[in-house]
Amino acid sequence: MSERKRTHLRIIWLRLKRNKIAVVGFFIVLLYVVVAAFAPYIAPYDPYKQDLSKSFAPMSWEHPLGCDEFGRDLLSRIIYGARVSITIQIGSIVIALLIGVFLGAVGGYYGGRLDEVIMRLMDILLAFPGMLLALAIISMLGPSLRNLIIAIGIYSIPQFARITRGAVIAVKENEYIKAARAIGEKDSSIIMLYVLPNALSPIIVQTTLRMATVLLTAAGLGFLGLGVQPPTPEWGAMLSNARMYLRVAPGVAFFPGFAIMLVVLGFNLFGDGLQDALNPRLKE
Amino acid sequence: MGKELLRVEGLTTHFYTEEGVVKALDGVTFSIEEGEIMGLVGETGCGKSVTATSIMRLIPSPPGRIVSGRILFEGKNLLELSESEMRGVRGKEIAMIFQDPMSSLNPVLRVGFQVLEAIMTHSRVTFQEGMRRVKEIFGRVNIPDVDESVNKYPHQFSGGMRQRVMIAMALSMQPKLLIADEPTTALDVSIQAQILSLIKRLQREFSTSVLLISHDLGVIATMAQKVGVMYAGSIIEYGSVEEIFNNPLHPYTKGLLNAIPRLDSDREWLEVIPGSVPNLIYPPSGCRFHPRCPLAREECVQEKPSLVEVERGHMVACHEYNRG
Repeated sequence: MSERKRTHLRIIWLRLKRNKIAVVGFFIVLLYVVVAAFAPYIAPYDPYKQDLSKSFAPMSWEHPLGCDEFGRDLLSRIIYGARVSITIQIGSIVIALLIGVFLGAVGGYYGGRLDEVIMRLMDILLAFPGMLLALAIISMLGPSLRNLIIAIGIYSIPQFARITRGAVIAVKENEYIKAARAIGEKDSSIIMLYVLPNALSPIIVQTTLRMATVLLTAAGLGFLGLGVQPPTPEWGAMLSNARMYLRVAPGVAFFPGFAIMLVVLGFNLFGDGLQDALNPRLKE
Repeated sequence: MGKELLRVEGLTTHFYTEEGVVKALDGVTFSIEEGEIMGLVGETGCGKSVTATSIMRLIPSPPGRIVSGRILFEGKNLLELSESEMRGVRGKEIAMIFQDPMSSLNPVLRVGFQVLEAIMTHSRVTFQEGMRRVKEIFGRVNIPDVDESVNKYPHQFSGGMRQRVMIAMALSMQPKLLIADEPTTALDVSIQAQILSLIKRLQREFSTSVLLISHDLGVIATMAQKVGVMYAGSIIEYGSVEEIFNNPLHPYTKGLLNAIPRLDSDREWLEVIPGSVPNLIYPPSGCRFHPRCPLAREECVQEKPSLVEVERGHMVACHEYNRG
């Protein structure tokens, strides 16, 4: 695109680069995305192929992370698991972004009673402790990948609504919003062209940080058996199954758990770094 | 004498704040003719900008509300239009330039696109046709390297250039009235003169009427044909530039003109008007200027003077001139 856009991105990248921890986060996230995208080419085996003769096979050159109780290659299952989690993350974040940003923008822009109603609704959603809301939605809809995405999506709406509302309220005080009204712009164009583009950076940061929470929630629900159902390789469910064999084959539980930790850590580090890079004034 | 374009009658705007009701405008009355530049002067907080935003109906509401009055633009009362009808007036019939060009352009949009957006809001034109018009108008406001400039972002421009973009945007629809709210206050003195002469030139070319708001009497004197002097939410004196500057009647106007430092005088001190601008939540009774007025009498405390024509076209709101 334009020169300015490139230079702007470069400035953000340069700021990010100075923060070594954020760079680590960025590469973890990058690795995760690449692994998920190219899973069939990277994974050495079919993640569903059982071979009972190899059940709980230890780590070896043939099976770098060993095998699970059905003799499935653990590395391949973790690699394919990245695909499942990234699907859940993207799906639910898209739902939460669309609805949350819309509600937050409308509430923040118009203010008054409409804002009050929207934000109290968000407060109701937020009142449910952590995962409980997602859990309740899942138990209503029944466990499946699609329902899991919907549940986590709904559960993430209030965060986006609040972040967007705050940013919109700050942006709307700018004189260019008044100037836009003075040339006769409609409210919808003002929100789309003038308000939201200027309110973007906190939303981007929130999206990154939320990726971590979503993954953790998905894994938690998977662990409870309410997420993606076996035999689909999902890290939370894998961890849950491996629990029973913890004494026999601790690796089968350790590696999926490690994968969850690593990716969550990656998103958090990257998100924090992004926050500083996009909003350098906040740091001081 | 041209045809009357805008007539503001008894415009009263209040802001309902937690501390109380700020009576920002108290019966503002004036009119602008076609092709005329009318200046509005007064100190900070006297309601100049509120007048401008009230005419555009851009008073933030809540807390603000236009309580009473009429704003007749080409005979139709803007206060009776629906919001969508008003959108058709804003930008197309009445355009506005703001005080601070640094913050009145959207930082994430290219300037050319912003002006194009203003054009496309009011007329159905193709992108190419619109862009052609943007480039033409950029040329008319003396923005150099038009083809490159339209693709720049606001932060790549200086304050003066941004104000040119604002002027280009305001004039892109050839509005009948341009409201310039302290268009040069935020600019360097050398740039101020350029922008003012640009406004004056374009005003002639487009035969637009201009409501020029400023606290700078010098700016008003060089630009305007007619002046309204505002104090604490009302116009207290109103007339041609020559009349106001040569023959000021209201004690406040006299005080203002006296406060201009003169090179040819050997006074050591600047003349000032004693006291300060009143709190508009609890404005003084009667004439709002009476606590600071050297001529204040009993009736000034009791009753608010109305604007009366003292000489042809020269109106003043002061009891001193208000006797039959």
